[in-house]
Amino acid sequence: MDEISLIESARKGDLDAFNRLVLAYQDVVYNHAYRVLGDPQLADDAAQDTFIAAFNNLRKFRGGSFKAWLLRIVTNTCYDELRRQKRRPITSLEPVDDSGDEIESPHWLMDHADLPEDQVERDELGRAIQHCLDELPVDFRVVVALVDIQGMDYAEAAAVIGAPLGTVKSRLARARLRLRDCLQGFWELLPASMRLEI
Amino acid sequence: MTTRISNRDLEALSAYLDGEIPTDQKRTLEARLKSEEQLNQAFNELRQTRMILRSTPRVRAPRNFTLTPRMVGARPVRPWTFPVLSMASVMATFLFILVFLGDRYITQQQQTVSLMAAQSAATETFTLGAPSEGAVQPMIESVPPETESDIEGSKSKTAPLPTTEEPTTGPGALQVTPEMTPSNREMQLGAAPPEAGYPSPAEAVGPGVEIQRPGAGVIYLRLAEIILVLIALGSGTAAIIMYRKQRF
Repeated sequence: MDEISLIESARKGDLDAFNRLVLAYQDVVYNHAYRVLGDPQLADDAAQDTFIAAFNNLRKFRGGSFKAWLLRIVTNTCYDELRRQKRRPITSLEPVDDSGDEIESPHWLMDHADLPEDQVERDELGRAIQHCLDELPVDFRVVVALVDIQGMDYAEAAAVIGAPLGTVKSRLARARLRLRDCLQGFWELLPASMRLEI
Repeated sequence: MTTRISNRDLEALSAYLDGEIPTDQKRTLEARLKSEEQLNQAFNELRQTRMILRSTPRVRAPRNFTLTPRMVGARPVRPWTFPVLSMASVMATFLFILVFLGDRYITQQQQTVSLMAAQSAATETFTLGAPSEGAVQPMIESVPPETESDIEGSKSKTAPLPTTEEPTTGPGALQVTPEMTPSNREMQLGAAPPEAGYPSPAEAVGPGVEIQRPGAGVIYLRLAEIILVLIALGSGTAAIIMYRKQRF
């Protein structure tokens, strides 16, 4: 059964058909939530909420890219979660120094002795990128996640965030500039082909 | 060293990387990239940054996010047997009540008929006064030989009744004093409770009167009651189990 047929069946209340769509897109949705929120547990909750909201609002899907529609929902869910965190800040479990500032994330202190070297490098690079993404304003982060990580074009990204094309263009350029500066701090983690020749 | 360029140039370079720049701007920018070293360096830095971002390891979902009916508040789709079982349980319960009431009614009717038969038999005895040998004899003759001991037993059971005369020869006949009025007699007959040491109407009447036992109809009713209770309980339990399973 193709995607359109599954969507049609799901619209009629066929949960099994919808769950097949869930299985097809859950990695995309979770990955996006994780890149925007920067936390596996929050990303998990956001992904689940996204699929529930998608099923309940399937009648509002007007065709087009189902992936883009899901990414729009997960982006809004992430915004909601970040707003909620702003209203009710959660106490960080990260260790803090004497002045109350968080010391370097324990992610960096993990013991990777049992992992293959390539895996370790990939993990560290992934964490370095996530660290730099977390430093960005959320609006920039969302655009980078949509265009550079999900591989969407500007028009799709603009549709997802509900903003003009020029806004996507501007946010993406400024985000890339900030990321370039941030990633310089992880020079040694980058593969030779990716090292910035500065 | 970090290249310093304007935001406008930065946006143009970023869009150029993604192929999202209009053709006329593209030509202009390509020409500038050939001539402006700083702009070219900024372009390379952006290109490499983009390459790093696009090589970001894809994080896989830690679990399946498939939905259950409960998550989306959907009513579970129950099999067709659920309404059938539910209806069967309700109908069986309703029929059981009807049959039970009918059973009770019929049983009461039979008891009333038996009592009336006993009373009429006893009244006959009273109205005849001391029964003559001729009147009693046919009754005795009609009694099978094996019931003679019963007759003796019923005679002895009538002994506690107050009497001033010799016992009558009629089986189960009550003793009546000459002073008794008909109303007294009836009171004595109707009011004497069996548990007070007096014989039951059937015993009092004796084997000469046919006692009505539960007929085949009542037995069928009892059977129907048992079957209906089993159907009601069985189908009801099955429906409840099905309902609970659907509620996860």
